[in-house]
Amino acid sequence: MAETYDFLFKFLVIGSAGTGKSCLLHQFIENKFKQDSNHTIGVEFGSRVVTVGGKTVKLQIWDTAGQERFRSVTRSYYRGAAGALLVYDITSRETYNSLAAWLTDARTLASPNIVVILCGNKKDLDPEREVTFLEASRFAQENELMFLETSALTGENVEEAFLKCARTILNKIDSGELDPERTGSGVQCGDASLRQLRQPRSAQAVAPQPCGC
Amino acid sequence: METGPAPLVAPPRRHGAPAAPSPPPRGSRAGPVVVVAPGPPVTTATSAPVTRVAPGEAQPAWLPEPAPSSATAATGSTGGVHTLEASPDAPKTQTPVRAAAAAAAETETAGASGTEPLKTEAARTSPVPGPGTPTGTPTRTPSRTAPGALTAKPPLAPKPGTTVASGVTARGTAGQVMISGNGAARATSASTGQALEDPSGPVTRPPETCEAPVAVVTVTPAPEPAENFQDLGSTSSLGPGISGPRGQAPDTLSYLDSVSLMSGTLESLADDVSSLGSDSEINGVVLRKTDKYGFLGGSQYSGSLAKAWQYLSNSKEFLEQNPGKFEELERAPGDPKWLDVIEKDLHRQFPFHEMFAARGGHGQQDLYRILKAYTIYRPDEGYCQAQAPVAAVLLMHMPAEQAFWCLVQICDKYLPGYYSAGLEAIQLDGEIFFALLRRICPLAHRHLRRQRIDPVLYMTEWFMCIFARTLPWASVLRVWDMFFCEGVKIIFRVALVLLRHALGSVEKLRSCQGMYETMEQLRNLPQQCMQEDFLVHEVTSLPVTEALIERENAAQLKKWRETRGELQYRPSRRLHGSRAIHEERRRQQPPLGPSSSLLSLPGLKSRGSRAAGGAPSPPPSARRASAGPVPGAVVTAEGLHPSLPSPTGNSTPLGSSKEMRRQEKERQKQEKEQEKERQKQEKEQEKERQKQEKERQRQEKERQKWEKEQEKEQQKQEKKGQGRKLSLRRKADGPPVPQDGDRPSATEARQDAYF
Repeated sequence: MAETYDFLFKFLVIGSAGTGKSCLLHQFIENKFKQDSNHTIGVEFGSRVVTVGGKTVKLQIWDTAGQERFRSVTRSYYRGAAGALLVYDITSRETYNSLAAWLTDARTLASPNIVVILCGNKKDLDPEREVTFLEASRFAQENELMFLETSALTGENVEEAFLKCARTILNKIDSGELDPERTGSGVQCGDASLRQLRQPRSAQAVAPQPCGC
Repeated sequence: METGPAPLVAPPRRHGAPAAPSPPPRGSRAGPVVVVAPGPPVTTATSAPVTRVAPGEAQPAWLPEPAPSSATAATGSTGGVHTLEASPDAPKTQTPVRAAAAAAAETETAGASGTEPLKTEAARTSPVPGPGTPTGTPTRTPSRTAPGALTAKPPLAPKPGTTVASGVTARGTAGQVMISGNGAARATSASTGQALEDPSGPVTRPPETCEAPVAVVTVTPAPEPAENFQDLGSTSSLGPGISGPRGQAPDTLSYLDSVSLMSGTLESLADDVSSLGSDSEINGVVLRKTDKYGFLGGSQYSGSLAKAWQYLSNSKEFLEQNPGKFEELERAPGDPKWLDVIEKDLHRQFPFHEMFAARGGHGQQDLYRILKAYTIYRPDEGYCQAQAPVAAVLLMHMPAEQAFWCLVQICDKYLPGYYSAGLEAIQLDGEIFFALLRRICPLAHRHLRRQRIDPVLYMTEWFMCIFARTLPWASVLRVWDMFFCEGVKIIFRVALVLLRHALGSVEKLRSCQGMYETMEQLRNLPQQCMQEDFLVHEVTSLPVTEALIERENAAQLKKWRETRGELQYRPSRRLHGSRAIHEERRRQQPPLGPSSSLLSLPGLKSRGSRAAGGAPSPPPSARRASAGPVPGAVVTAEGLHPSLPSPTGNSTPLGSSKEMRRQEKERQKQEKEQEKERQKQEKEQEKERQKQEKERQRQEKERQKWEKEQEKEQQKQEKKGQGRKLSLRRKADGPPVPQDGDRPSATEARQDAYF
């Protein structure tokens, strides 16, 4: 299946060091847990085409280094991201405490409208939990984030997290809240031929501001 | 021609690697040789007596346990006791294997080599007498002769000359040939069981032995570095300082090389294939077998490489002048903020390398020690995640303490500011890199600029890890060699070469329409351009000089200040390679005088010699034992423990006589020292004067250069007016670098041809 898709979304995976960002990405792309991984220096990335709400969407996911001092470097990656997975480790309160800073970064550097889903990773390590579900979901609510607890090890909720984020972005496009044509929206429409083909049908009620797809 | 010699050429690098495929060299090279056969309990019969003397540097902390199969070098058939002795400074092990044993071992090896890998490993170790003793004869100390002696020896002789002059290829071939010749001779002698090959020498001199290896530096000279090399060369005359490229490795190495050349080209080729990938490329298939670099199984660090790196970076001196400092740092309570992060990273370094594969294993423990020690040593810097891979690579080649000081040198001298909070230095280097790219490969430059891909997006990992996670392992070692010798310039060059090959043609760019695709392309670099031979050749021929980098540095710094204000963090001045480091050291030496006198003799002496030589030469103190009456040394040699393990430790079997000798030596030393001190001072003054003069000259040259550039700039401006297209292209070419001659333009012409 050649690269035909309706939309292309740029995603970020951000959060403190050692929270499992790269493993989440790996799990999502490869469907397996990466046992022996290097820590990320700079950036890693991956992409996958998914179907959401009847549309094919290509997700381009940028996975960033977590250590504080890399922030100055990883900021360059934020530009033009449509969605972000904000990851913390449920067994480490410290990673939870730094969420606010990460969130600020994402909203100021990517876009204020960036769709963010909070992921409490390492759900499989429940006995060592330091951050309760309730607490985190409250934080999510206050900051208008979606929230899921995930496990890159078992794969639980990993795909859901990405899909949920993608779905929200699609809804925003449909509702006109997000204009894919605007540069820096983090959204691109599929290739031109596809657009042409769909042009007639694009009257779909779904998209008040159709991007032509 | 290329193909033929290829295998020959290859061996030099193999130095670094623990291992030439051929059995004997391998073991020897692997300093504290312990061959850890990765496999299942290969603990064959042999494992018995590997006596490790002196824990000094040679002692790899992890050695004992690491391998599940502690199939340590086994003397197998011989059954002789293998004493792996680490001399103080030299990780090189000298194994006084009895001649008989050696011979036996050799045979054994030969037989084994063809067979199953594991066995080979074991065999390898056992036969390996020691670095200097390929033949396994106790007497032979070929490699480790004192500096002066070095030249006299056949193998050594070639080194000085070759080193200086040879370019990469030349080095490879010429050096090799010579070596192989020697090797042959050696080998024969060995086979015959003749012990004495060493023409020059007193039969056994333990301590120095160790020193010799030091001299071997496998650095690839870059084109312009002629000066560097001369400098180094001059040093070598003093003693086994740094010598040139690997191929010529004088002493031990040459022997090893020769042996390896003779015995195992084919094997080595096979090895190469196996080691093509760095850990990142190895996908989880864990065969219990290691390649020669220790991946997927594990072998040891190579003593020679370690020595070279330590001398080049001058970490050796720090080590000697700060005895106990590392332990002290280790004992200090660290900042939990750093320790947490460090702990998280321990299992994430080269997980496919035997040393680091096991959770909580020795490799990981040592890594923890080093990284933690650094956060205490430089609390202002703390820990940066990118330091871990660097430290891990060092640990693969040397024990923790040495690796620590080496890391310190990298962070303080070679790449100051790279790992500091804010990472400004790396961002600045990113800008410098991008400016250089404009000269070297305008096409790629334009593409990246259009895609708005900041340099930090792709070069951060390359630069911060010194390509340890990017290149195939053979290339990594090679690049590190060059880096230790010539500094950050090498990193720039390698990165430029990689970019030129990844994005240097129109076809390639066609497949990189978007930012993501471009990044993907940069992530999956063409294999061919990362191959050792190719890469090194390209790197050495790239016209990117220190001066150019410094100039760009100034320009970008200015820009930075205009757009972003002052730098938050001001690192110390970056030193371009070994020469600069040693020069600086020399400048700073006077103040260190008094303290050093309090330190162990080795430090003092080494200082003296260095001051005189100007380049890193092994501390004479290491040769302490040999300094004594020769006959005495011989006697010692006949004992089971010819080499002295560490300067501080009392390793000598022959107590009383030693004691006396020592006292005597002590006295002599003091006298010598006084004299040296005087000489040194004189020399230093003279040097200082010369330096100042040079400095003046250089500045003048710089000014001239600058003026020229200005002129060119003006011309360009004029031309710009004439036509847009023309001007664009011109601009891309950038002002030619003065030293480069017409090279860049040629390259650019090629680039432009793509349009």
